[in-house]
Amino acid sequence: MPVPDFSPGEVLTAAAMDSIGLWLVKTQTVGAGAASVVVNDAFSSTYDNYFITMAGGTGSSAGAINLQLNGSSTGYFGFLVYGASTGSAITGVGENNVGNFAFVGGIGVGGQAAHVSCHIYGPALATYTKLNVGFYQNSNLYGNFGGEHRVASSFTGFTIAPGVGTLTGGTIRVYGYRN
Amino acid sequence: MSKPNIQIDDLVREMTDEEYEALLATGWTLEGTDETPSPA
Repeated sequence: MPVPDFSPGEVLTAAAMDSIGLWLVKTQTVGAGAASVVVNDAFSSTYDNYFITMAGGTGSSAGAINLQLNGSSTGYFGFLVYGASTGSAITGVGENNVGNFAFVGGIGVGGQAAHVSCHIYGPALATYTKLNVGFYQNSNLYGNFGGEHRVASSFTGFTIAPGVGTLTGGTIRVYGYRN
Repeated sequence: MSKPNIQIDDLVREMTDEEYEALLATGWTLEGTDETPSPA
């Protein structure tokens, strides 16, 4: 069954359910005034690749949001391509063996929506983990980031943190892509 | 000034001194500036 095609009242078999490609594996509500949010038990051997979102809450100040694999504070590489909504110039900034993926989401205006949107590849595999971002934001800057964590170890969780200020409310969701 | 919170799974609590020092070491600040924004 390459595409699920369910009928009303149908008994869903394991095979039918197993054909669903994207599965919500972790949900975590963000509390008030958190400068960092640790999410454990998100990655496992069941899925190689994941989609992480955070929405519904606010950030106290405009800024980027970063992601760190739990227990590893070095070895993050990548490049951000971004521009300002007020202009047309494209700018870039690299990160070369730093302490986190620095641009996985952001906050445009203090007190307004905070978001995270990123795909992460192989975090639970004992190989380098790669990541790309749906979009990053800081104030009126918007962009895309891709990167790699050059530590060949298995990780089961991650920490999300704003570079400036704190997060309040909202939900972090982790979806696994069926292998 | 009180320290910000840290959330571990569903538990939200104030950071310890050690956690706060580690956070500050990353370049974290409580508030942004009105200067032209840098990417971070």
